[in-house]
Amino acid sequence: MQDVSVFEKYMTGTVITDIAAILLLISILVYTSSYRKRDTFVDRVFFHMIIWDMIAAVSDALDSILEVNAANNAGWRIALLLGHTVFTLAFEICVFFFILYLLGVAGLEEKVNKYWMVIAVPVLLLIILIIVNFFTGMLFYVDPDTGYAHGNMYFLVLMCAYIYAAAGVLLLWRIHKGLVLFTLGFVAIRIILSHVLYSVSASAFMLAVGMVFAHICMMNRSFYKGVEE
Amino acid sequence: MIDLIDFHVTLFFNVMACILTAGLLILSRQLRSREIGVRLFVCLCICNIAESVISILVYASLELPDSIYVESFLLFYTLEEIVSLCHVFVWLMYVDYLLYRSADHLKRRWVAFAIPVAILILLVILRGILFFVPSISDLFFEFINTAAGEVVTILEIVYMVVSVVFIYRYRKNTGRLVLFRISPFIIPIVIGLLISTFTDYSVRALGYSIGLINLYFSMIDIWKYEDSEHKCYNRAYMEKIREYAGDKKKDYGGALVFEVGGDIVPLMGIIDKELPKEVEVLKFGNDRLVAFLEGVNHNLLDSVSFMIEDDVGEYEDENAGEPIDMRINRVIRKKDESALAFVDRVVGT
Repeated sequence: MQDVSVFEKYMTGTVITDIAAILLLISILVYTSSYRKRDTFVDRVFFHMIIWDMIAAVSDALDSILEVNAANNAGWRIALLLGHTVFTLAFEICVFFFILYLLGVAGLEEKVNKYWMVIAVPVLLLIILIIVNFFTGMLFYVDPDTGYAHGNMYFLVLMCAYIYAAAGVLLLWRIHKGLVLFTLGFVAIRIILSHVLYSVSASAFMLAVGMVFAHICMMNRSFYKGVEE
Repeated sequence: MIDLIDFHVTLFFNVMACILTAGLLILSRQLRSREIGVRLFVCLCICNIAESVISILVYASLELPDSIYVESFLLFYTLEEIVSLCHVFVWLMYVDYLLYRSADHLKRRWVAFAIPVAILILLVILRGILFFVPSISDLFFEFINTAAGEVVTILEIVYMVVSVVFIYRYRKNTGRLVLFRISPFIIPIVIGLLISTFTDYSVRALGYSIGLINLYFSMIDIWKYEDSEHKCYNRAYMEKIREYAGDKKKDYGGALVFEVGGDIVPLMGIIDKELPKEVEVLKFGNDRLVAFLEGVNHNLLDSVSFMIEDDVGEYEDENAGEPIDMRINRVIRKKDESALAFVDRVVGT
């Protein structure tokens, strides 16, 4: 097992990152309140994204705190597994809503209403696997000696996110080409940083930053133009 | 030497701060405007990016070989403090402009904002130079070092407090309800400073970035009510006026309705001069302006409109060939009429 002080340092880093994510999400939640009054498909989906990412950020912060103490206590290990299950579920559901959001922005709302079950297949399968994982540990588990560890089938968690990410990039290319390049650059920086910083969890934060950028682009559309005259 | 984990985590926070701020600058169309307030906001963003980059260099310099470590560290540290001081200076200018919306007001105030900042920049540079003067007494260097280091931090906090006082005084003096909210900007910064104080990581730049994002969202919230081209409020502001009237925050007694035939801009200048500062002027379409006034009677409303008509006459005399085509209607609130019903009646007329 890693040195406890190293664990604690990364835990602090993760908790700070999640606090930053929560602050960003609260801001978007507050400043999109007038948008939600429009009650369009895109606004509703965006609201779900914010809520699920908040759940992911809170569970991620709790996970990192639990992880420091998991080695000493069986109860904490179960709590850590539960926490990580919530985090993975929330993260994947948020990514799923992100695809719905992009489809909505691209003006494909009718198709979403028609085919949403098909779009949801990867995430629904993963949700079942994540629930089963709580008993089998095939995706991830908590080892008394090494702490949190990936299971044999962990790639399925990544695969689901990658499928949606790939679909997202294709859709985004249709909506905002500049944003695609910016997002890819942003993800590349994160990947580079993850090599030196593998233990600071920043997934919820990255999603929050993505939502901030999406909201900035949304505000470029002059929401109030029709109200003025 | 520094702890590598601390360095990497701080590096991550600073890179994220840069990405957040740069993303805001690149993606926002509104920030391409040449309006002074927007330019100052862009300056704030650039200061934050510069601070994040220099902060990374300060940390990185601690890993350099002993032969160049001191010089590099001192150089980057001095640069970081200078940028930090410029940051607070721009912030004060920005708050001033956001409240008074006047380039002239800013011209009158900027020297007062700049003097303490300039003195401190000189002090910070002096400390950097004195470090390399061997004959200087330790006591004097210690004094300069403390003064430069501590005062910079204190000044940053003081200037934040000053900006809150500005907003409070503005509300008190003008009676206007300020749409601009400072707390969403300050809260992440304070959290960032607290985390930086109580942990081994520097989260200052990330706190600033989140604050700037909030400030941008807040600005958009203001823009939805403002017509910056004509220096007045747009139709959307009616929801605020109705809210104030309904909550009895404002007790409107009368209103002036201007029917305008030509360009609104010169008339707005005259109205702005003659009406009390707390009066908000709303623009409905391109031919109608409405001003709601608190605690006025028929006579007061008459005298205000006569003054405006006189000013319009003077303007037309001075600018031959540019007549202002307008007509003023005076509307007084009835005895048993609620403020909200009055507002609705005026807008309906």
